[in-house]
Amino acid sequence: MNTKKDSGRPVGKNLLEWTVFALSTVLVAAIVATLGLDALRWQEGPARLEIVKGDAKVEDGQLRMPIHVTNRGETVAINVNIEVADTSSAAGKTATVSFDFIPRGATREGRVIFPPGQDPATLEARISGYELP
Amino acid sequence: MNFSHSRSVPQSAREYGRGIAGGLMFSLPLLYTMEVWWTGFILHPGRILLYILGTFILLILYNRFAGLRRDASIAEVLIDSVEEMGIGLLLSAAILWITGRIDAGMNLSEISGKIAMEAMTVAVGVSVGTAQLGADDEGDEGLSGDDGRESGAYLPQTAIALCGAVLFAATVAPTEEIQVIAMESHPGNVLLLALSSVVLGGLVLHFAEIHGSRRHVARDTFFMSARGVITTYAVAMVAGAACLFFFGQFDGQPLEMMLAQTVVIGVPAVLGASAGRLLLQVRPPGA
Repeated sequence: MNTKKDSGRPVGKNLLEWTVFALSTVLVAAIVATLGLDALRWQEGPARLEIVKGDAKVEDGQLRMPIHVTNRGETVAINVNIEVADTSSAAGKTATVSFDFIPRGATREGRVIFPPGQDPATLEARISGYELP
Repeated sequence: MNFSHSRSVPQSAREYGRGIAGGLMFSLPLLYTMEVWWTGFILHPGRILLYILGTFILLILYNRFAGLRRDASIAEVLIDSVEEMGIGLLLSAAILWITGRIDAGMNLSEISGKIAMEAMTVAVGVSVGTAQLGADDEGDEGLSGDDGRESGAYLPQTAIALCGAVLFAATVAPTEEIQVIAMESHPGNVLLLALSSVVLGGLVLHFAEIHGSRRHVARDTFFMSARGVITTYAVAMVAGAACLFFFGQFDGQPLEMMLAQTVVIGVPAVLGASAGRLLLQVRPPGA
């Protein structure tokens, strides 16, 4: 370390500066390592969307059913449209929910709404479409 | 390890405070832009790493040629650049978390991508803020120091122009509007934009008498003036194209569209490379 004097103080970093530098080094190393590992694990492949229906509840006079969508594929899915249909009859009701993005490995949650008398067991959810990046 | 300066803890704390203010001031538009959040999980992580490396080089150039300590050693420049990146990462993580853009339910890949894409502009803002928002009592000199005779030198000015161009171009590069303008503009209009950008650069550097232009703009001969204007536009185009690439705006686009987008972003980029570059070298009163 340089021993020159400047304004009466020894030239060099003080404790705060060394602390900030140490923390910054850790942060930068962590983000680089995370992204580096992610890059190494990266594989080309389609999005694979998996839907899980949650427990439906009647709230405010409507049946609300949570929909969880997880992307287990290798590509982000954009503008994901999910259609939930009543399969108990040919003219059953349908509801839709959309998500702007579902990144790789991410899960997003939404709600579909049906009339209060709807039997949740007869509802089936499917992906009706999504865009590629 | 050689150091050129020393500071008391309160002085350092004030310096970090200025850096934080600058980081937020220059990067808030991007922290509040959806397209930047999206690029964090759409882009290949390798490209985000490249963006981090590019920003680190930019920080080194800025700290070396226009930063707070003009006489800083290489070690100090590297340490300052790492610190600015660290502060940028911390600030962007905090803002993204407070605004609900990242949370514990997201996977690490999405969180790290979002933070990294936002943090790089914050880091450049921290660097600029540290150098420009104070330091009148700390004995730091920037380009107004003893080495000020080099303040109009070609390579340092080109490096600072690159920093200014990136700062200005990065704020619009992720937006869809760049693509829309490029897509819908007649080739004649794109050409007009390119010519206007060159004229704009020339006006700013040689006519408008912006503070610092006499000191930092080489104008001894017509050749030097012309070289300055052309270099400024070339730097703006390179910075603009790099920003578009790093924000994924070139993906899947034909060459003509890439060129048109680069020309469109060239307008703010040339402002950054000319007026922005001069503003980056303005020292506070008393410095």
